[in-house]
Amino acid sequence: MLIIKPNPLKWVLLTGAWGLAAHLGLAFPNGKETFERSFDMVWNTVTEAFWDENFNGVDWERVGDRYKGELGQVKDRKDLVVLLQSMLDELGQSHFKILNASAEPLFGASRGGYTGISLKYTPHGAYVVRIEPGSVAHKEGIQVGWKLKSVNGKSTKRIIQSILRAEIPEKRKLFLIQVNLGVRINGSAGKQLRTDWYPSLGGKEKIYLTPARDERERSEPIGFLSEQKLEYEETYLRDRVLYLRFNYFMPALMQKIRLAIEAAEGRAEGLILDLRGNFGGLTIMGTGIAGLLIEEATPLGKMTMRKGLVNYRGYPQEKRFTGPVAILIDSCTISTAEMFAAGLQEAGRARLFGEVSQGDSLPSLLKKLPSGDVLQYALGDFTTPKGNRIEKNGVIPDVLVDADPEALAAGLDLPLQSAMEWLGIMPSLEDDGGT
Amino acid sequence: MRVKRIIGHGIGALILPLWVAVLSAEDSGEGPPGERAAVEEIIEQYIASQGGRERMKSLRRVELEGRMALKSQGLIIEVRQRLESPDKVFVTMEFPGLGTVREIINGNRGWEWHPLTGTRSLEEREVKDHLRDADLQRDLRLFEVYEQIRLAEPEEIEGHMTRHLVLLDREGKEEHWYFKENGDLFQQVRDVPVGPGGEVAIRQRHYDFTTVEGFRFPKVVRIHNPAFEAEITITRCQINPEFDPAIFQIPPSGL
Repeated sequence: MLIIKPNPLKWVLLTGAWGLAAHLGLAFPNGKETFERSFDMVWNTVTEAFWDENFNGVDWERVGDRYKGELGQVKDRKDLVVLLQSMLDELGQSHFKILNASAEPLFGASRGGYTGISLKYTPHGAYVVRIEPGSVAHKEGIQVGWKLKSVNGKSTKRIIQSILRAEIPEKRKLFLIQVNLGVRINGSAGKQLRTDWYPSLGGKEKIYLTPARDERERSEPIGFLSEQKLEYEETYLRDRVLYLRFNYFMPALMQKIRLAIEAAEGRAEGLILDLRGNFGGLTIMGTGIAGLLIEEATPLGKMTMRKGLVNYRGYPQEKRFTGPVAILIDSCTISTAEMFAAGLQEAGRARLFGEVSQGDSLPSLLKKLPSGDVLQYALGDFTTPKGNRIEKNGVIPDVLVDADPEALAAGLDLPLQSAMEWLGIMPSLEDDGGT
Repeated sequence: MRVKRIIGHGIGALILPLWVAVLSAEDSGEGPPGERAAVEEIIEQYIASQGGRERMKSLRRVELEGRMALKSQGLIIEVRQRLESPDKVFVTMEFPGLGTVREIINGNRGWEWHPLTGTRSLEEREVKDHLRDADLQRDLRLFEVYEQIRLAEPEEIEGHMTRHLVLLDREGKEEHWYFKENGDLFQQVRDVPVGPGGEVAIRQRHYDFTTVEGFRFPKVVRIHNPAFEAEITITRCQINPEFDPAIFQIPPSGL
């Protein structure tokens, strides 16, 4: 019979995504009926799609009854999001989320500003690890290694403590602190921020910053996965090692990454992929980048669904880089970034440096709810080629380099230095604070 | 099963062993004598509903255009599929925000290009699945293609009483096909390959049948798996168009 085969499905399933935000409509009906339909859609989707028919030991039926009983108390869309998210949290898995920035107070929404500061959180405080050249922070003289004291009078300590007190998994807290501080330090475009610092050499410094409009490149929306602000850095360290840093696995970056890696063959002695703070993206892009680094078809993991199995495999591309590969990861390396790093590590193709990754690693799809919010749901469980589960466990680097406040204050990037030493190049002074 | 229904109607205990023997034959794949005839009748009706055996024999090439919508995901994928019997396929799929994916099958070789993953040769099983589509006379040879075709209990689906066949392929995988009274294939339940070594179970239902140059086919196909749903709508169909042979040539990178 003449039928277009369901071939595109394979790409949708292989693609899988993890995004911070989804497209939210401008006006959606509020009201009891909408809340009930949204609730039912969330509960039914999980009931049908969760890969384990026993819901990993959670009595999902009972959970549904309990939260349905609380639906009558929901007054507005924000209440609904909190209720639905609480219900999803009972599953104890990542990638079951209601995406609506306004209803995620811990998470914080981007306010549209950009100062060019990247912070790294440690239990001893948040330190500047990168200053974008030419940015507001660069012009105001903020330096790598400085420790943030407060933003607009709100102390970093208080922000951190409020998140640490929340009833969420420990590793998730680190991620939320990182994101929350990032949002605060970037502020709103044109709206002056008062920042207080402990500079590396002692003393206190008060600096007023007027954030620029955040005009970083954005990815194109894909379905309900909204555009993401992209960061991409490409440089040669000591003119011998290609260093690539990017914050998402999104199509807009693929061509740059491909060209950089292809050009590195014959020129670079090694490659460092910096996936610290990489929030993931399209799973299939991980297999695409892997294809630029491997000599033969290489499994990167598999997704087991309730009724199906999807393999992620990298295929060697004609132009590829054959030298050694180091990957930097940290507690904010998430999802596709974790799958990619673990796959290449298990294949023996890359050596990993840094911290244990976040452990949020399930391929997911997005579904719009009648309320206008978006449900993100994992459609399968993910395991590495050797059968390890990244979810909750994270990826364990070959060389564990935990964040060291003293080193950060001194502007040193120890994971990068370790990778450089492994690749046989001694870090130079300008490499120490990142690139 | 028909056999079980007869037993249920109260045939005497003396003839029971005879029916047990028939059941055994059915389980071994032989099927009772009447069953083969019933299966043949359903398949003949299915072929007739598509335009008839002779018309289907004249089908050499097809071009289909349409879109696959994952409505709940907000994704619409434009698909163009060119098929030349028995073994050539050229498919393009445009994904919003991602680009165009291309797949070519020529004989026993397959190749794909994806904006994110680059090029690769398709694996044997993936090629085989594509060839299923390229073989435009496949429905005329179902008894050759499948190891066994059995009649199963009729089922009511969306208010239609359907006749149900179970088809066992040569690798031991079962498919379930459900036909309406007029011979239209209304529902198929089977596993479809997904990328290298993967597969998902899908249920697909066919709606809004239309006729182009005497060939009848569904314009709308709804696909269901516990984790997702999709709808394919065919917007254009050309029967036996001329194709540039170059479109089926696998690029050197895929050799």
